[in-house]
Amino acid sequence: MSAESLPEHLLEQAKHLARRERTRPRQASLRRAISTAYYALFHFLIRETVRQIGPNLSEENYNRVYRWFDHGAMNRVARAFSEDVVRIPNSKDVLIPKNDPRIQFIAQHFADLQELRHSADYDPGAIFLRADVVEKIDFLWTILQIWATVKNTPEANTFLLSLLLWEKWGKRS
Amino acid sequence: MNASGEAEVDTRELERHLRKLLAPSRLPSYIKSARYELGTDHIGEPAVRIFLAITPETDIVLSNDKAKLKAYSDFKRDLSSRILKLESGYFPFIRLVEAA
Repeated sequence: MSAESLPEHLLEQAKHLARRERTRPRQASLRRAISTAYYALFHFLIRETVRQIGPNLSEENYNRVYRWFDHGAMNRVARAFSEDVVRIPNSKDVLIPKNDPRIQFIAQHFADLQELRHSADYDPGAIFLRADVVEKIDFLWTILQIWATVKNTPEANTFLLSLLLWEKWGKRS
Repeated sequence: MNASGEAEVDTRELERHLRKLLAPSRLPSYIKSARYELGTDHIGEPAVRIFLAITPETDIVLSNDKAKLKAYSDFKRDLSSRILKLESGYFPFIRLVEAA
């Protein structure tokens, strides 16, 4: 499929951008590194979701499903899955009574990176430090490794399904 | 109410915890100071922004020393987890900034 290796390639590119200048990094390089790292995780989560819910889709339909994902909706899911107890939106009902800490790390990092990417792309006054950017990229590599150990758990399945259908959990009839 | 439908903790209670978590004695020695701001994130949800100030020299050291960067990463993740456990509805965003 066309986007199959996109997350890993974007992450390599983010790492390259963060280290592009040997001594004093340009803000432009650090900003693009953050933005690229965010998109690596964004595409990674979409790819994993589509792999789980539609593993036999044609390439054409795979690409159609890709466009269903929304940054803001994914952010709300990430915030909810950062918690120990995951609750159904606009409800006190519990979706996951004891969340897996690995899923919490992944969800936290998504919300964190999306906020930082917004600042990198739209806030001309923001100043980025290389250590901050490198740490976020390194942790993203860790997340890709963690994912292999957690992707077949009920919590991971629920997280991925939520990225597409978050508001549907509250539907009663 | 927060997005989860739970009552938020009083922000004074959250700030009391933040002051405790960001007390100089609890920070790694290379962090010169820490401050926080309560507000919203770019989608309008409650956010607590934490700024950890380091020197330009520390930025270089952390960027090039994997063990030290990992230690910072662990510290940051522990801080985030402690704030999230308060269930305040405020999501933590932790940034390194250059010390004045």
